[in-house]
Order: sequence, then C-alpha cells, then structure tokens
Amino acid sequence: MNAFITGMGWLTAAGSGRGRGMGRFFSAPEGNVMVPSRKDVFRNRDERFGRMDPFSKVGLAAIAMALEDAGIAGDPWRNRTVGITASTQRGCLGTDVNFFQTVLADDGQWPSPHLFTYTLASCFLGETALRFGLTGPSYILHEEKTFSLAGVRAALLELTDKDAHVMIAGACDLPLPRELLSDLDEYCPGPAGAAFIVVESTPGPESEVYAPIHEKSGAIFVNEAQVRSLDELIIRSQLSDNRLLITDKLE
Amino acid sequence: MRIFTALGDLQNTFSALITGQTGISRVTRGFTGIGATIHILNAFQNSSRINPLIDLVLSNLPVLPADTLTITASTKAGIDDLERYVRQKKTSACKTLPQWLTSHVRNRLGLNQPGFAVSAACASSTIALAQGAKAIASGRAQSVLVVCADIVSEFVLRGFDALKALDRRACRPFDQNRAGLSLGEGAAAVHLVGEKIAGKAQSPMAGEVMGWGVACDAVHITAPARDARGLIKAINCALDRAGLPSRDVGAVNAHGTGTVYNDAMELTAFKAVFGDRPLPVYSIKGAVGHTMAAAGAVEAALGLMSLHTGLIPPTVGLEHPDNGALGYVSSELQVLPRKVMVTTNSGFGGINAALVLGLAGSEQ
Repeated sequence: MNAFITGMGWLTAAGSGRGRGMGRFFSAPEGNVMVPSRKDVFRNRDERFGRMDPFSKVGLAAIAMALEDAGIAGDPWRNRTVGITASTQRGCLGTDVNFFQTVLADDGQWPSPHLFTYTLASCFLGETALRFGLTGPSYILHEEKTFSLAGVRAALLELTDKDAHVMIAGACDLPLPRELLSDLDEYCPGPAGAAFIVVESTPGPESEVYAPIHEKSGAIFVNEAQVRSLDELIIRSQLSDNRLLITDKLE
Repeated sequence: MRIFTALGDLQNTFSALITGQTGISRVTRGFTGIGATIHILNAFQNSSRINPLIDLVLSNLPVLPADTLTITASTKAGIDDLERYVRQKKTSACKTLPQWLTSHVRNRLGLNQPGFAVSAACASSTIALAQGAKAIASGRAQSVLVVCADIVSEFVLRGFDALKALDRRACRPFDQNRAGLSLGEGAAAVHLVGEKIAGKAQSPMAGEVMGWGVACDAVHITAPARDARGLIKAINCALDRAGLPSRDVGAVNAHGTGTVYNDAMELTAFKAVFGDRPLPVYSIKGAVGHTMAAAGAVEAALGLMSLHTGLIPPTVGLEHPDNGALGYVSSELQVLPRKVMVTTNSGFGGINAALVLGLAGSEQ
C-alpha cells in the first residue's frame, strides 16, 4: 500500500529544520544536539515543557516541526486516528542515570518522582499525544542503530493494517550520558538527534505531498526507490520534484 | 507459552491463583519494600537478574523455525546492572538497553530474522502480542516469538514509591480501600503461529489472539483519562478486529493495578463497552504484583488457562469491593460462561491496549 509523506522535521547536531523550510538535513556524526527551549518549539505557554527531560524535549521538538511542516499542527484531526512510532538506540539512559543518582543521594531519602516519570522512553510519545490530541497507536522500538528506519516501517504497517489514518514516524536519540561513555560507547555508536516524518494513508485536501512511500518485505521505498536510512529517506523526499504528478494520480 | 512469576511457572501460577494465593511479600534484596519477587533470583547479586529470569521461560522451549520473528518487551530490562555500574563501575550496563533482550533471545534460540523490542510502558507486551498477531494475520510472518520480562529493582521500587503509587501492604485491586500497586517480576514467552504451521503442529494450540486494539488517551502523562476514552477505543477496536459483538465476551482480565484512578477508569470503560450485564472482571495483580512490561503477556497466558478450564481466578486482595465493582469483581472463584475473553493493560503516557482471546479452532 502506498502512503504519502506530508511533513518532516528534525533536530540534530547540525541544526534543526523542516522540509518546507528548505533546511538541509543530515544526522551529523559529531557534535552535541542542542536541547530546545519552550520558545524554540511553541509560541504559546506550555507549563510542562520546561520540566520535561532532554530526551522528551528533543523528540517532541522534532515532531512539532514535522507537524507544522505538514500544516496540521494545532488543527483538529477531524476524527482521524493519528499514532506515533519512534525508534531509539539509547532511549532515556541519561534520565535513568540522573534518577538513580537521586536514589543514591542523601541516603535515598528523596528520589525524584518527576525524573522517574521520564525513565520510560515512551513518555515523550504521551507528551506529544497530549499536546496534539493524538489517539492512535504509539510505541517505541529499541534498535541497535540510531536514526533507524524501524519507526517508519512500523508506521507504514499501522497504516496498511488500517490501525491509523496518519502516523508520525522517526527516531530520537541523545548522546550517551558521560557516566556511561566508557562502558557503552562501543554498544551505542551513531549520531544523536531526532527526525520525524508525517505519513498519511490518504492525504487530506490541505495536505501537500512530498513523495509516496511504501514498505515491501521490510524494505522502504520512496518514489519507488529503496532508501536504507532515515537520512536518505528525508533527503530523497526533499529532492522529490514530482508533486504535481503525484497529485494528479491522487485525483 | 511459558510464564514465570513469583508463584512459579504457568501451571503453578494458575493453580495458586485459583486458590487465592499471593506471591507478594517483603522484598529482601539489599533494598526494602513490598513486592512479588521470584525467590530463586535473589541469589543473583553480582549480575543482572534479567538473564536468569529469561532463562526460566526460554529453557525447554521446542525448537522454533529459524525464520521466527522475535518481538521482545521490557520497560527497564537489566536495570539492576545500571544500578551496579552507577554505584561501583563494576559491571556493564548494556543489558539495560531493551534491544539487548532481542539479541539475547535470537542468539540463544538460533533465530535469524531481525527482531525488535517494543516499549510502551505497562502495555508493552500487550502491544508486542498485537504486533505478532498482526504480522501473522497479514502474512508477513508465519512464526512469531514474543518474549517479555521485567524485574523488581531498587530503581523501579524507589521510583514508584517516590510517586506514592505503592500500597503499603499487598495491593487490593478494585477494593474501596485500594491504595496503590505492588510491583512484581515476571516473564513470558508466547509462540504465535499462522494457520499453515498450526495445521501441521503435533500439539494442540493453546488459543487464539482474535483481536487487538491500541489507543492513546491524550489526556495526562501519568494518570488515566477519567472518562476512559482510550481504553474504550482500544477494546472496541479489538472487538471489531475479532468480528465479535461485546455480548460474546465472557470475562475481562483487567489491568487492575490497585491504584485509585486506574481501577475506576477501567470500570468506566467496561461498563461503556459491555453495558450493565454482570460480566466477570478480575485482576491477578494482588497475587503476582504488577509485572510492568511483562504484565500483558503473563495475563494473556493465564487468561488462556481460564478459557481452557472455565475458571476465573478470584481477585486476590479484594475485601470490600468498590461500589462500581459490585457484581463484576469477586474475591471468589468464578465460572467463565463463554469461551472468549478480553484482556487489557494501560500505562504511563496514556497508552491503552486490549486483546480478544479465544480457544483455537474447533475448541470454541
């Protein structure tokens, strides 16, 4: 089944951007990912954003940009079921370490309930669902690589199986926390950052399609060409110059 | 299917459940609290307990087809190794990564298909089973192994304690005086097969995943939606997928954590979906604790035992049923009137998942 990419947003060590912002995406292998502030992500007040852990902030920021790029952020979803599938390698390891240090401090008197809430990698999906009213299937896939296509693959299967009308799919990773660098460096190679795309099974009348996308035997194809990484998927979609043709086909 | 809980393997856990026993007691692992731990895991003090726990459900599994798809689920996997690393820098924390579990299962069983690890809080293994059933229903796989596990660790116990989510005594699902959950540890390994393999199998099938549904509340991060919107949607999706009207469901295995809001939300959902008919609803968490990511698959396996025996376990810990639970939840053994049941789980982030389970083929 063909689905359609209608939005994309990212935040990596090379910077942040949206597909229609003419930004250039790449998952820079080196460098730190800047954790965004609330003002970087939302124009309006958002009391929870400042309290979220860095993993959630980075993931939510990339999704917010993807939704804005798709032109549907803040709009009611008109009864369309929207889900989120995200892959991660390192998940919220940094938050795990920070929380456990509160368990060890002061003879364990004051473990932080707030930090504990964010020791589930799936928490930022709930934060996203809450802000944008997304009620579809949402889950994390833990992968051996960063910027894996697993989230996109899962999203396409959710659309194929008609478990959602729209899926937000991508990947989110922060660098290893310094406390675990010497231990896990070789287990957890790969760049940090977050990148998400919006995929619709049937684009709405206001949707602008980048490119058709489909899954076949586990492989992902954009514009009928196989893509092997999230970088390649985003760049190929951005370079797509046949939107009119796709629109014609739809009509 | 295999499970292991504080009450033992599948047969022992089910036997203990129907006689109203509990595995919840004082935890003695260098940290204190109440929980349903597996005593033989206490001996593992210098390496993660996740390994021996997985071994308990993988040992003696029949040989599986090499192209079996592996789906695993865990919230914190070998988090006790991360505790040790942060404290002493002695052992590697790599088993904290849930993908480690997938590799471990594949390597141990010689499975050559790349698998994946699902994380969706306490609904993780319910979603993993749904993913497996979907893969088979769509023809993407003929053989899927779902393996899930979580351990009781200082990390998790202190975290839930800090959230004030733990009952000071063993949890009391659906009770008027319920005051929080009790943690438990457990694991499950469930082998799902398509019709081609099922038709050739030597032994009878344990049951069938007839339907599944997953939905998000989009209301609150740690609290469930009071109007139960997400769970209602998940159950209705599962029933639609199964092609069954709600009247065909004989019982519901509830998430039933023993927290005030979860249990109230679930009763709201069940009444919305099943109406006012007296439908047996039960929770096993007063007996095996909340096994976190493993809860869904552990409960599905025990649910199939109920379908086979026609017996619904008493809800251990229930003394004074909440007004909304009267006529639904019981501290007594009940008879399962039909051969289809629903099992549900919900988790942080407002995620909800439901499965419709039935007996396989002609047994229904």
